[in-house]
Amino acid sequence: MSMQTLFAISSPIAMLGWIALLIAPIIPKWANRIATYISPGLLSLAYMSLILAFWSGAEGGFDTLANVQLLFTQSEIAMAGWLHYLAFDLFVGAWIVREARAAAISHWFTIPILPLTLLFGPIGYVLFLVLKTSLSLRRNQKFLSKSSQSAAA
Amino acid sequence: MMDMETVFTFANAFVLAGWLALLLAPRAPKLADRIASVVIPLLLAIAYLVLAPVFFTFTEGGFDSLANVMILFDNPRAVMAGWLHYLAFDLFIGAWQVRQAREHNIRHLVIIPSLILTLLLGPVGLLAFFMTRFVYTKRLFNKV
Amino acid sequence: MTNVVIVMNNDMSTNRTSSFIQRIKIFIKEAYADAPALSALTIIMLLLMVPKLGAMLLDTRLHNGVNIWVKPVKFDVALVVYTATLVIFARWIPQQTRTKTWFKYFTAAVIISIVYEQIWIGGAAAFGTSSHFNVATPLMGIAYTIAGFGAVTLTSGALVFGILIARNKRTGLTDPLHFAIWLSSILMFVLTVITASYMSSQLSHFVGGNLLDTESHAIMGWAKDGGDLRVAHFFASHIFHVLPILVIAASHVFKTVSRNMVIAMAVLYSIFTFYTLWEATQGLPFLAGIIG
Repeated sequence: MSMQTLFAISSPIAMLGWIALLIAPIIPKWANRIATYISPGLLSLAYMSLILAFWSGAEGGFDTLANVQLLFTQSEIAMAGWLHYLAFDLFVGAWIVREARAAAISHWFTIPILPLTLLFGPIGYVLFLVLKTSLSLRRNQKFLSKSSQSAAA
Repeated sequence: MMDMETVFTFANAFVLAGWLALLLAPRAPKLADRIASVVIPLLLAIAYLVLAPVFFTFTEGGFDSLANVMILFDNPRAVMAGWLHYLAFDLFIGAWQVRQAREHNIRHLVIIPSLILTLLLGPVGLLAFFMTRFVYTKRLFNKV
Repeated sequence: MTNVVIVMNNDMSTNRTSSFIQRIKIFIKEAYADAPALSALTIIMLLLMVPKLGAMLLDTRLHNGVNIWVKPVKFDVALVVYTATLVIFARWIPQQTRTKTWFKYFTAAVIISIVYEQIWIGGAAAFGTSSHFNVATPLMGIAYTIAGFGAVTLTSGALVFGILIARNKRTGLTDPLHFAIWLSSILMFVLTVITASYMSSQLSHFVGGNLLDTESHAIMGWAKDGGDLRVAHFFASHIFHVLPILVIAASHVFKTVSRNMVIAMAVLYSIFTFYTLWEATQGLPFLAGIIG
């Protein structure tokens, strides 16, 4: 199989997970299963296949940036690197959706964060942390002001 | 602008501190989790944010084909940004594994292989953790 | 403790309304409860076959003239069949025995040996080199020696299971089937160790021919242009499948199956296995002396 074909197959597998996350409030259980386990699992299995087949023959390594760059000049290893992104970005996206639900954050808030995680992984994640913290701070403030009011009354 | 190789060396050393915290997590679970899933990813994301504009300077290359992805990786700054992305999310997933193990009463020693694999070959480590958790909980999926 | 509950659910399997799929589910649950560690190993090996098949699809490197991942996948299939058999046979070992410490350590030794073989064979493929018969470097030579001990250890699983099943008088099996299961399990160990140790005393499993896997049987991959010692090893390691199935089949044909009939079958099967071994040592392909 050529790397272009693998690339073409892996993208829809990841996109399926992202779409499931976007409509997570409708199918919460399956959105989580697809975006945490099924899609990242399949992508990771493909990653492992590439590592088994091509890692020992690859040039470069993780020791210097130049060597990392050298790794990415080989299409098989670049493909593995791409699968790594697809799998982990989606996994983090699914975590964000779960975490938002647990913290009772409206899905409308998380929707813009998801594409950011898809495109610029760490930025999406950190934005979510900021959102979560600020929302919980605001809630606490509201709660505090309410309780102080009721205490006064 | 700092030399990218220097940034690379610093970032790696920095992330290793996070992994060390995860390996020693049973000694200070809360602190280890904060370090590995908040503090270090946050700082890596800031570094990423500084480098990310490079992605908008490309006239060719992109995320639409493998050939285009490889063009992006021709640029040291782009590779560095991509590397920070790996560092942050690998560590985050390592921290997630430690939290999960705690939740399911899996001994820390048992998940150390999957942690090391996550550090070295991210997705292989995630698969290893899925399998480890499956052996202990007999469940493939987590409850939502 | 949940294991006990699952075993208690046994009466559900006799419930006529339960569907086929439900019965399979119960069977798997029972098997898991009887041998949790070996069951988990079986499932994990099945899962890890997926990336190896993926690598086979992507990798263009050859070993003995065929894709380098053919061998790891063949070993995966063989070992999955083996561990799945042990999982099923475990139900005929008394539960008191299965919960004993020595039994748990023994199971652990079998599992560690299997994991070692997997890493050794898969690792050799990943690095584009041979596993068996590879003594080219000191490291690979040591790895091969350890694999030899590992192979005996993992095969001894059948021996120990056979002995424990033989001593258990309350298996709920008919006498000939009980006899066939324990006898063939012990014979599996004996025949496999004989055929495998003869094979490992040679420099290759090929005797004559082009010494490649190119001229080979479609499914089994045995040489068609010369002797292949893997044939006898294959038949040796499957006696504990063939003999019980033959007994089940025979009990449908004949009114009674005696122990003597089981012994006769075992003797014939063993003779056949040794014949394939002799055939290979003469540089003849499988059954060449009989049909071709």
